[in-house]
Amino acid sequence: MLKYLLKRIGQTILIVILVSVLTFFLVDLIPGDVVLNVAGKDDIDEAEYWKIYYELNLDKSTPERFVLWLKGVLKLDFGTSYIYHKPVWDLIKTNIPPTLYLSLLATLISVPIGVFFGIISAVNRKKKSDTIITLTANICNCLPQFWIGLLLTFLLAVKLKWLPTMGFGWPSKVGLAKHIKYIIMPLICLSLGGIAGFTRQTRSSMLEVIRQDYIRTARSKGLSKRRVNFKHMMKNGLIPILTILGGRISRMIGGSMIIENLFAIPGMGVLTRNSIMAKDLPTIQAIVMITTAFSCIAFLLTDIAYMIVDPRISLAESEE
Amino acid sequence: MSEKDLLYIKDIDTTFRSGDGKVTKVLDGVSINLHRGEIIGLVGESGSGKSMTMLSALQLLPANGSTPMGSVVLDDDGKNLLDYPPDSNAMRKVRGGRIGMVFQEPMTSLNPVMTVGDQIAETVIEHFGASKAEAKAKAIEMMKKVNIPDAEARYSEYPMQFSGGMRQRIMIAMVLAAEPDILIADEATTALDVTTQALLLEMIRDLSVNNGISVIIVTHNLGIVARYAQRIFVMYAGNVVEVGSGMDIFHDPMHPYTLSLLRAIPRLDDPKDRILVPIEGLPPIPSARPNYCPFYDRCNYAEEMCKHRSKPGITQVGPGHFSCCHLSVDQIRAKTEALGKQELHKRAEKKILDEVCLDVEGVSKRFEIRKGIMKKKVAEFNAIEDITFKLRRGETIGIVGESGCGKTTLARTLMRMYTPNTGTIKMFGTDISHMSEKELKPFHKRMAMVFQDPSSSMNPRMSAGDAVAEPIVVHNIYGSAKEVSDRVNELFRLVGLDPNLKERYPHEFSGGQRQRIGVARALASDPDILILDEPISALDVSIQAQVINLLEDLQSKLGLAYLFIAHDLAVVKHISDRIIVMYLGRIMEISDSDDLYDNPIHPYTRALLSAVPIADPAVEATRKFENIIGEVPSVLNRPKGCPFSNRCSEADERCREECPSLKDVAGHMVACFKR
Repeated sequence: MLKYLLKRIGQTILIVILVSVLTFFLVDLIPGDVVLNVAGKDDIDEAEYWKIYYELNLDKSTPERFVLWLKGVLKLDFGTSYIYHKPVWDLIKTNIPPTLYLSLLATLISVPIGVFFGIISAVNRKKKSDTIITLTANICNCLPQFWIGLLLTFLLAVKLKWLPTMGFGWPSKVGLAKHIKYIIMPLICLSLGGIAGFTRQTRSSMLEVIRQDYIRTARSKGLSKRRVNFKHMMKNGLIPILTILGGRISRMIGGSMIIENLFAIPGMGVLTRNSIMAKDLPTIQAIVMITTAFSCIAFLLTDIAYMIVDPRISLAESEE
Repeated sequence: MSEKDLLYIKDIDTTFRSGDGKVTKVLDGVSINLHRGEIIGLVGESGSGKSMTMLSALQLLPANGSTPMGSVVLDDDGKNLLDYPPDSNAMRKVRGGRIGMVFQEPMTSLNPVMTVGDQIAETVIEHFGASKAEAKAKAIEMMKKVNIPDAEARYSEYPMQFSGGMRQRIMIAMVLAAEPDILIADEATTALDVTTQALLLEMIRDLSVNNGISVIIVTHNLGIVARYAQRIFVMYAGNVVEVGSGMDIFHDPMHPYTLSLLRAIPRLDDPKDRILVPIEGLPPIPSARPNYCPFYDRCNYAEEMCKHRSKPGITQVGPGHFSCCHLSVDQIRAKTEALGKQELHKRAEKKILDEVCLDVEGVSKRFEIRKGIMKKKVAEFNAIEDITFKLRRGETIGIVGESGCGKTTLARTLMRMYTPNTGTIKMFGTDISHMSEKELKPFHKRMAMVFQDPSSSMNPRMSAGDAVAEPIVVHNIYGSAKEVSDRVNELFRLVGLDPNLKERYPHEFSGGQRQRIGVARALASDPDILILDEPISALDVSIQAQVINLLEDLQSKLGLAYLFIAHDLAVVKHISDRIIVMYLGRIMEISDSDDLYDNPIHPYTRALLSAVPIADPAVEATRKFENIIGEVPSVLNRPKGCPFSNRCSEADERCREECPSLKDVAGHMVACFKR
């Protein structure tokens, strides 16, 4: 078990290093002058040009530059954004919290609701409730987020004027009531697809489990329906759910470019879009590095969760 | 039926609704009674409804099964269990509490993410309201009772850490933990090796005798019921067709189906010239069962009136002996005698020539286990080791052994799907053991293979005719499309199929027909040698005889040499001239097939033969099961010396250190120091 854990951590570190190499060379891969690329514009004066030149250590050899860059990254020093004229980390630092907050809330909403509907629909297979749930989930799964966003804005903000059309503020700044008004629409947009996805996945994996011989065994022991459903079916049926949960968590920090832009939320999605549009290379590098590291950690945690839930994994590994 | 009845299942009707709303009756008035402390057997082919009867009685049907009609009465108290809703407390008290069930698939019947101990303890908590600690103590006690070594330590292990036989023991422990009155073993030993099966069934019998538990053994294996059951219920097409004691069923059967079945299956103690008489046709599919006797269409006792009268009811034909047939006892007896005379037509003529088709000498195949990203070699083992034998034209050599004995590896090595690490394989004098693919081509033509599962070894998108034509085309045997087509027609006729079926796809055929197509495909390149890897194990017993007879006919017609691989010893013995007994990759004994049964020499052969139950209670009464230690180990853990040394009661120091090679003992080739 420990060996497996160490192996997985090793793999994670390896992936992060590989990505860092690619990210670092991102600057060199883009055609044109490195300094001008990093500056994000062509019309800079000579002094500024050499300032950036030395900041990027372009006078040193490539391996040296990489090591210096990586050292900086480890200290969360991703360089300076010449668009915002700020250290990149300061930008990221202010943009992560809204994104993480919203995606975390959305996940916390989607998982229980999705799993709940999934179980209901699996247990009542081929009955009316199942048909309704499955149909709704399929429709919700297909709806594009921006469309839901626009629809909600039109209904709740423009027509009914219940909610502000856009914006974001923490409760400490704008008060709790205002804060909730800000986040309702983004949360619905971010959760709806998740609920639908979890419902569908839970339903299909539960149905898979219902057919298993060990469920018949559990029933043959005279166990109550509750115990069969919750003790025997849930634990097996929810294992595949971990996979999509892990995938969802891994994407949490990247934020949703569409939703954040639609509702003007100052999060990572907006930052990503802006820095791409402005060719703000140091910021792009930082975003790539941070989202990668976060994803890798999320997948590592998923694997650990797998190991805890499903003894077959750690047993199979320990046989090596 | 009588005062002593512990369980009385009466007139059960069970229907299933398929996806398109069609209703199919799978059980058609099944009645079964069980006395206290008795062991009964429920036998029938797949689809006869034997498992369904048990699931119906316990209200364990899948979602598309309706609540069965009829009654299930326990303790003669007049209460019908089927009146209780399936998940009601009263029903659950019976299911699991009074009646426990062990299922067929040991690999999938236990919850993989729950420790075995918890799964046993759960029963105790459910039925006795015990505390966790009490339940654990009881679970460990039960694990000890079913002979699981190290019960305390293994309590918190997961099912995947146990072998198939051990998992079935866990299942039995789980059932016993509730202290039930009745244990149902639904094909509980079918998936296990014969020696493991015998150990488990012996244990079940001991439990029954010592604890007064009544047992219902549900199986397709007539040998098992002959050995263990006091009364036998024979099922066919959703009906019980005959009920009687073991002696009644095997020595004086009265129902034409039972009579035909006994004529169709080979027995381990058969004389050499025994002819199998297959039951022609197939059982009716449940959705199209006739109103008249369901066996009518395959019955060679049938009279015209059978078709015009409704389904026969059960009538008494002797003390405790019942049968469902319109014909009287005398009529049946007279017809049986007449049929017995007809049967005397000679078995296909056998000519073994001196020409050696296949000369295998010291063949070993090593496999490596590689792990990790770098695929580092972590272990290696010989799946087969030092295999030596000669196969002559017209001869059938049977290869038997339990799981891991290497029989399939041997077949694949001979087919050169694997390259042997040592030894030579000479085909008609030419060593093919290291030939390249290209050099092999002419030899592949002369050796073909028939596989086990006729449904998955055929391409579902290829018509039967195309499948058979493929080897002809690959080997460029015939030029024109017309010639190929003629040859395919000829092959179809050869294996007893109508060439008009050529355009059909595999799923449109029955299992037996598919295996005929498999044989036709193997014969397409006009080979001299056929390797048959478990060719009939996926087929029902009444169908097996058809394929066995076909193979024997083809052999005498075409002078083929067969290598017949199977785990069913009776079948192997019936068809083979010589038998190779393998164990963990090595040959233990080679002998003439008759002599092997009459005079087994190697301790493993003896144990193996004694583990196979014979479909005759009179014979069974005189046989003794030779105790064999433990289960077949993984080939990875093969003992250093003789592979059987850790399970052999005669093994000594030398056996554990050195590996014996084959030597001649009383006409057998035997690998044992003690002989």
